[in-house]
Amino acid sequence: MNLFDILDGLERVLPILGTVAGQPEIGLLAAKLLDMGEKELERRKSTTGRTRTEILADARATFAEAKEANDDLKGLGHEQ
Amino acid sequence: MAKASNELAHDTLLANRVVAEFYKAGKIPDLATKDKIADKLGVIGDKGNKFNELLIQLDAKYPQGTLPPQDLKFVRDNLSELRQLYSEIVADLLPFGAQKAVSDLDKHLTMIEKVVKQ
Repeated sequence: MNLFDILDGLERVLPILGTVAGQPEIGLLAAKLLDMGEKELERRKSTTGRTRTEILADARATFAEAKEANDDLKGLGHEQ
Repeated sequence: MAKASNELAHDTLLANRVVAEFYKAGKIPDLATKDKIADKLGVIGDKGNKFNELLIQLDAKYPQGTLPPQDLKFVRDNLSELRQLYSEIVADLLPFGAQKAVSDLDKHLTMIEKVVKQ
């Protein structure tokens, strides 16, 4: 996902998405993607000046988060 | 390469979250396809993590930053497997037009590949 493209595109169509008949979930998806994109942009701005060791430690923590997100994704649709 | 590994970690995290949102929004209507993509993202996450752990070991071993040829080859070999998995996920997402959900993975895998080819 190119976050900049998505943010740019979504900002233009978001007002329309919410009114698409019978598809309110599309507006919700767009809003969630926008939120993720904004947080990702903020994260990228804050990563300058770190050592290689610090960066690799950040990656380790993020891979652990990704594992949790993947477990959640695998569980979707299989709820009891 | 550390930065690219970190970006790969964040891209993998985002890809899992975005695919989840696409599924909840009905953009990936088939549960079996969602599960197949989730499995592959899980493998990318596991292998990416192992790749990162290798970089952490190498970081401690070579604090000056230069990898000897035998370690570069090992890194390169692990990377090709990640590249293969990424290509499979893109193919899975293509029917639903959701391949952009993982396109940043491609950019950062490519970056790492360029570094290890030098």
